[in-house]
Amino acid sequence: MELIRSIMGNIGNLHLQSPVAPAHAAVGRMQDECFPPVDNQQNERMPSNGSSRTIPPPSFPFDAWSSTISSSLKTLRRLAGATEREFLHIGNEMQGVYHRSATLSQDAQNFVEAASGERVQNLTEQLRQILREMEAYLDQTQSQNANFCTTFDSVGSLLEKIAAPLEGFKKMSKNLYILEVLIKIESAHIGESGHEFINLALDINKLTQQIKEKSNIISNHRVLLSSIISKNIKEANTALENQKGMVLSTIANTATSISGLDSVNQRFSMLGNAISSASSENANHISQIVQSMQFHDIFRQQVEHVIEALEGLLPSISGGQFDTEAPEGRNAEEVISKAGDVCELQEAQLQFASVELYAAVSSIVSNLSDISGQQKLMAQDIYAHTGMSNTSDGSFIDDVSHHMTSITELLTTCAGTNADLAVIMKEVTDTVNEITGFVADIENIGQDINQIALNARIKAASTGPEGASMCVLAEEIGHLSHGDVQRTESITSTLTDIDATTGLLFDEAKSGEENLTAKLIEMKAALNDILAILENMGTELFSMLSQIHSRVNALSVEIEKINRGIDVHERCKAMADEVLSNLRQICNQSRELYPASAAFKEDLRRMAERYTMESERRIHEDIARKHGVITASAPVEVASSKDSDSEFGDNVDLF
Amino acid sequence: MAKLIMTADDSASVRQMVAFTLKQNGYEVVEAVDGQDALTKLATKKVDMLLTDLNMPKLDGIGLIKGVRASALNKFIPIVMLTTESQDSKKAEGKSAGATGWIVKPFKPEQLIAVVKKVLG
Repeated sequence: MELIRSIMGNIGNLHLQSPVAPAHAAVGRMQDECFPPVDNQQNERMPSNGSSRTIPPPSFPFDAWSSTISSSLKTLRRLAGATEREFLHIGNEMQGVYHRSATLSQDAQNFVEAASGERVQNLTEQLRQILREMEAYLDQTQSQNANFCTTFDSVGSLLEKIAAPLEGFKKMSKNLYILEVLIKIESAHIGESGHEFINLALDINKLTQQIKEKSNIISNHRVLLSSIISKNIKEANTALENQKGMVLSTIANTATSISGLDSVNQRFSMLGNAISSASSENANHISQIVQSMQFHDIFRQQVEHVIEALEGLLPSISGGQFDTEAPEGRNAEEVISKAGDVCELQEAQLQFASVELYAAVSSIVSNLSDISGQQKLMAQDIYAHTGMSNTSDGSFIDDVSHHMTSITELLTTCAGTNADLAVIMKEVTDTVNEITGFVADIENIGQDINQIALNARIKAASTGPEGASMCVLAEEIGHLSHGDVQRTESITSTLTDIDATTGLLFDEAKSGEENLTAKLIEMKAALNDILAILENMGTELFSMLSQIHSRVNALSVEIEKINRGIDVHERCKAMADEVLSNLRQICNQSRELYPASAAFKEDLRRMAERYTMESERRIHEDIARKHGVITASAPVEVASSKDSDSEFGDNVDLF
Repeated sequence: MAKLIMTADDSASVRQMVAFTLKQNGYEVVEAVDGQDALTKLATKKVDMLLTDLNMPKLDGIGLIKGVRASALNKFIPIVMLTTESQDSKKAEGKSAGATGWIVKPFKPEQLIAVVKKVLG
């Protein structure tokens, strides 16, 4: 300011050496009218020592300049005060965007934490544990079912073994019938004493009928059992084969699905980094906005400096006559030159300020857009990482739920097959027990027959020689009963084997089934708990994602609206351009008559070295260079600790 | 407890940005619209630090520093200038008046926070 005042002071002290005609142009005319081209041919060049000088045309438009500068000053004053309210508004909006953007980033971070981290790791581990238990359970049921089949197969073979003894019972019944008839015939020959043998024959007949009936029942049971076993072995084998395939594929899918949770966890960790990076980017955008916001203040001060300079120029070109001859009067040449100098400088200052403000506001708009873009990208990243292209889509959780549900259904099927086979095994065991009962009955009958045969021998011996034939028959009956005992022993032995095999397996199956059922119930309960957690997690994630989605959209719309409303730079540019055009024309007219003077160049050098605002110093240096002046900075030594505080940046000094 | 920092600037939007930056970093902020307003407020309010513009109406930044250094309540607080002025002679004047530091606008928010942290220890 001091230098501007110095320059203005120089202008104010100019001596008028030649009269200048009053200005013709009226305020408010068009620019071209205000700034009529200067006819250089009418001007007479005079030497700089006074012997040759360019005389301004009599019609030189000082009044037009004065009017234009006054008008420009009005515009500049409006310009200096125009940005505060706008920037305050932008500042408020920026803070709103910052808070919403920070909330969004926090939401995204919460989403990542909800979908990953310890919570998911625990769930994944629990799922793995359940899967291992399920595998063990399936192995156990499969193995048990295979045992059932093997046992059934053995029982089938054993049942074949009792076919021959059963056939023996039939033959024995036939032989007993023949013996019974022979006893009856012999009894008739013996006469009165043979009467008791008839009763024996009737008893034998009764017991033979019983053997026949029981052996038939046993035979039917055997056939039925063989048929049941054969049919169930076939079905059980088919079921086992099918289930084996399903078990393998389902376990593989479930394992893949659980591994998917692991990779989701990893991906979410990466997403967490991406969100942090986006937040950091946004912090950077906000930082740039905060920096750009300060250009309002810088711009205002620069414009105020231009105002001050033009206000200093205005009195020297306004009103009165110019008299180049009068020692104390105003010198038109110097006034015109200085007007050119001031306008050239201020044009450059204003141009610089205007460009800087425009760039700063554009940067604000661009950074706001970038924040919106960053948030959109973040939302897209979340969709990509969760596999949710929109909020109605399924997710990694659905896969796991689906596979775990499948495996539970499979477990239930396997358990069902297992229970069916156990029921059949029970049926086999019961039937075998029943057969055993019949066999015991036959054995008892055989003993009864043996007893009858013994009685018959005693009776025949007491009858005398007439009972000799009866004795032979009784012996035969005894032999038959002996054969019966052997057959029953054989069948009993086989049945004992069957009973031992099935009984053991049935007991194992029964206790195994109880254990497996309890285990299945436990696994289902644990799985349901996990699936419920996963489902809740899915609902929670969808809700969070939906919230993020709508917040991103709302922020994006808001930022677009804010950006559409930011036109301060355009309006300031238009106002600055109007003033710039005025200053340029005054400068051009001045320079056409009088090129930049040595004094101006000296002023430039001084200003470039001593002007207080860095930006203004740079402008002075630029103009000085343009006019061939070499400047050298002569900074005043400041006892600051520049070196030690360089960590803060070039624009920071701590004393 | 959050440190209290005064920002004195005749530009409302600059005060707004300074306050925003400080509050984001956990500081409490009191604003003054010029040097005179700052001195009035500082007469009754103890603050931990003062950030002031140089060119302000009524009382400029240098005058404010001198006033604060002459006061009883906030005599020894760190004072950092936030200004567009970068001339070394101005900095020397500020330092001589009792300024602790000098930041030329435009500054990055992180620069401001780094300086605040440094001077507040």
